[in-house]
Amino acid sequence: MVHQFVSEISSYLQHQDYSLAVRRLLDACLDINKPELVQKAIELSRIYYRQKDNEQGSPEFINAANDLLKEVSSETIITPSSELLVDVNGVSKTYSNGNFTLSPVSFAVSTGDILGVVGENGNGKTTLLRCLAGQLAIDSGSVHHTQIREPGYYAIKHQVAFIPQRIPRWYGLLKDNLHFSAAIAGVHDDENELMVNFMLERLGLTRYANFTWNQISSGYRTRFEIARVLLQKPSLLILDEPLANLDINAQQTILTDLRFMAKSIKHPMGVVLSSQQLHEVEKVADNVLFIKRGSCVFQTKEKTETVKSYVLELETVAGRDDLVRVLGEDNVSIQFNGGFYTITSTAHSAQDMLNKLVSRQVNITYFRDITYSTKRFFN
Amino acid sequence: MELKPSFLKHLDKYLLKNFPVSWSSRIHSAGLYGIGFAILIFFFSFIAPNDPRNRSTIYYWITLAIILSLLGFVFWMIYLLRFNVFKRYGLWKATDTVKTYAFYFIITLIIVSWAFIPPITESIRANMAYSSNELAKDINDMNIKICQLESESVNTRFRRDTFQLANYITGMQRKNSMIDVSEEIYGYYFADSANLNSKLKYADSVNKIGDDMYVIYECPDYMFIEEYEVNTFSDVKLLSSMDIYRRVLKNKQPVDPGLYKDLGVLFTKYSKLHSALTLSAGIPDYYNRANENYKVRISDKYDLDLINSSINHITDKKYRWDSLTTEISIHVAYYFTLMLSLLVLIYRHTTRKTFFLSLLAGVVLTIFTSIFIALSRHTGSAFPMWFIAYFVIFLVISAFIFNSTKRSVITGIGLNFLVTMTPFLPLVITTMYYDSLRERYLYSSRWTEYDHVFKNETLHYRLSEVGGFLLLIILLATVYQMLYKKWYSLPED
Repeated sequence: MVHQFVSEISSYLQHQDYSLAVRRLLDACLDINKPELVQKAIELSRIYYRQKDNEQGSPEFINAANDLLKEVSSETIITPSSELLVDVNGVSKTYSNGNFTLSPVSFAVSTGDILGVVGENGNGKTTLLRCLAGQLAIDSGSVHHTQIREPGYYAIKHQVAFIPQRIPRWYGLLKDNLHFSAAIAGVHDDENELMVNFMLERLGLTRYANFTWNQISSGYRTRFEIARVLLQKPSLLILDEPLANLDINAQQTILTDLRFMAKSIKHPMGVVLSSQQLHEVEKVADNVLFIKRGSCVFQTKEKTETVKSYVLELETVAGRDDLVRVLGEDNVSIQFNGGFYTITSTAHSAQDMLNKLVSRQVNITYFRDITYSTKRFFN
Repeated sequence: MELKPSFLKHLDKYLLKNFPVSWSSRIHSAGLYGIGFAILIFFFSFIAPNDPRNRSTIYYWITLAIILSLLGFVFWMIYLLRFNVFKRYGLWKATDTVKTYAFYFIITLIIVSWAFIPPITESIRANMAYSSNELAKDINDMNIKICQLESESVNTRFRRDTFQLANYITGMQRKNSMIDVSEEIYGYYFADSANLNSKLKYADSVNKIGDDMYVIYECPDYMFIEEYEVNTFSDVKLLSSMDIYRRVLKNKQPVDPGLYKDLGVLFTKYSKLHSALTLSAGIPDYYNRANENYKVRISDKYDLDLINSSINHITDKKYRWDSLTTEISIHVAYYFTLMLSLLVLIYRHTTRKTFFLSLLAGVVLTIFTSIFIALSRHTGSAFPMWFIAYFVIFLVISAFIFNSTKRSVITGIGLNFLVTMTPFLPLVITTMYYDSLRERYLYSSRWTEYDHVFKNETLHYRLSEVGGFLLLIILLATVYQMLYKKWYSLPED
């Protein structure tokens, strides 16, 4: 495991992916579970942020990073095995006013797993997440938290963190809130200070540490909320539309970070998130649930390798007639939503169709194979 | 501008990182600022221009202090909204509920106590300005000097009443009669032995004119300056009219003109409005109104109302804290603190919706119960009966929480009421017990045992109050914290 870290981080440093290198070094030092190493990683991160504008990386930073990497490589880490966290079996929910019903849905989440829940607005994603978090009473089925020995919802809610789409307002300084969250999870004194500093660096919040709710943007509020719940060391992290308030770079960063954090060696956890950013979620998720009108219509984990049709998204200046001329009319259907075409073929794979279009010099500005993506259900 | 002192900042950080339950109650800052503010109120009410001889302005000060207490309470509540370990599902031990309640109680008590500081300060100031011995000595001096100056004009005729022992058993009892002797009305009374003994004990002079007949003499009133409870608290004995008579009037001395000056000094000591200059120069003749009662005349002549009123104001402030007032004040402070701290506890352990619905339900139930009691013409024991009935109902509702799978507003309200009513339960039971005893003894032939049966009533009420508080603490540490934990964490429907 150490070698994987080392080679990965070395590669980032070599190719000047300093931000990623710093984040992974922070993770590695936390996994090694030595406070002095974590402190060094925090200092390295601070050096990085001080010289961030220097694309080449300052010698001070590169030397410090290499020194720390050397120390990390000398440590041994035992990777924990994945364990089942929550087993959801046939959970259904109907609101008392009868407006909406979530049909029975089953899935499981283990440590290190990321489960993406996708679907159009108002189709039951938030309801499912709230049932999973113990916020909403279920009508049938069961949610079994296998790792929680103490019975009762208080223990469940202590272990399962839920970040709603609209983050509740907090008061006081950002840093004080983080100290508080760590303290109520039993992280005290020097360890509390260290973990808060770690989390501030890890989520790029250090410069906002002494800011209040009104002084930070919604994107940073999301980051803060993630930092806050992570300090409470949950075994399952549930996020409702965490990407909604983030810019495109931040979305990628947060998803990557969630991936790394889920697979943390010191404190592995399961992550469940809902989002409209299908492709981004699919990239990091181990399983994706597609919810439509309250029913789970598709789970990527259950997908079959043999598919009945191939689907691609295409953005081009060419017209529908040009596309029909190139791809033929047989076994191909073309839909246009005003922005891009969705082409479905039972005869040709997405790659074949792309080759045909390129060979006929059709000008393509965007292409994505969604044969295995939940995106194809969005009609 | 940062007002927080550095030691408090360090303490704040230390508690935040190590004791989040204590930190989130703000015991450190609310406690320190609360005590600091109490000292500030004491300081301002101490240095404020408030002459002990003047009428007390304490009600304005108390109103101001109550407003400040309310502001302080609201300010603390705003800070309490910010962090809540319980609602964040942090590590919450069984003792944490009691611990937080103890903090809320202490802080509320500090804030409530602000309203009591101005009257205490006023009493301290009055005590510092005039000691009881000094007052007693001055009252004696003034009364003697006035009596000396007016020795020729004061009434010296003692009232004399004849008392004959009445024998109720033999039926020797006649109507009391009044005998007009010259300008005074003297009485002729029949009294039983107890009454007669009492009369004899407090008589200024007695003349026994038969085996069962006495003439009791009562000295005219020479207490031109009233005592206003000074005698109770002073080591210096306050002279009675009889004492003054013996000292001054029994053997009259020629009037020393210097007495006016001495009296003037004493008068100005007790009333800055009093014209000592006029007094020292002698009293004008038009004050010598022979036809008026000598006390009225002398009071007008020396403007004694002013002196009496000043001494009254001083003693009002000095002797404000008698046992009854102190007991009432302690009860007011305790029950205000208890109710406010319970409201804070409930607010911190329940949802906002359930909290406000509980308040509303409380108002509705109070109105409903009052109307029902009024219309049904129940006796005094109706309220305790209703209380017990409600307590049982809320106990049953709260018990449903153990098997609930959904968070319900009804069970939350039931639990909130149960917690609020707990400290009053022993008191209500004691009230019911004594009500039933009263029915049994007072309105029956056993009324003679009444005093014996009720001799510990007050003590039992006090013990019930203490017991109620202890019961609340015990239940908070055991059942109630468990119920709140379970109820709050339940999923919603």
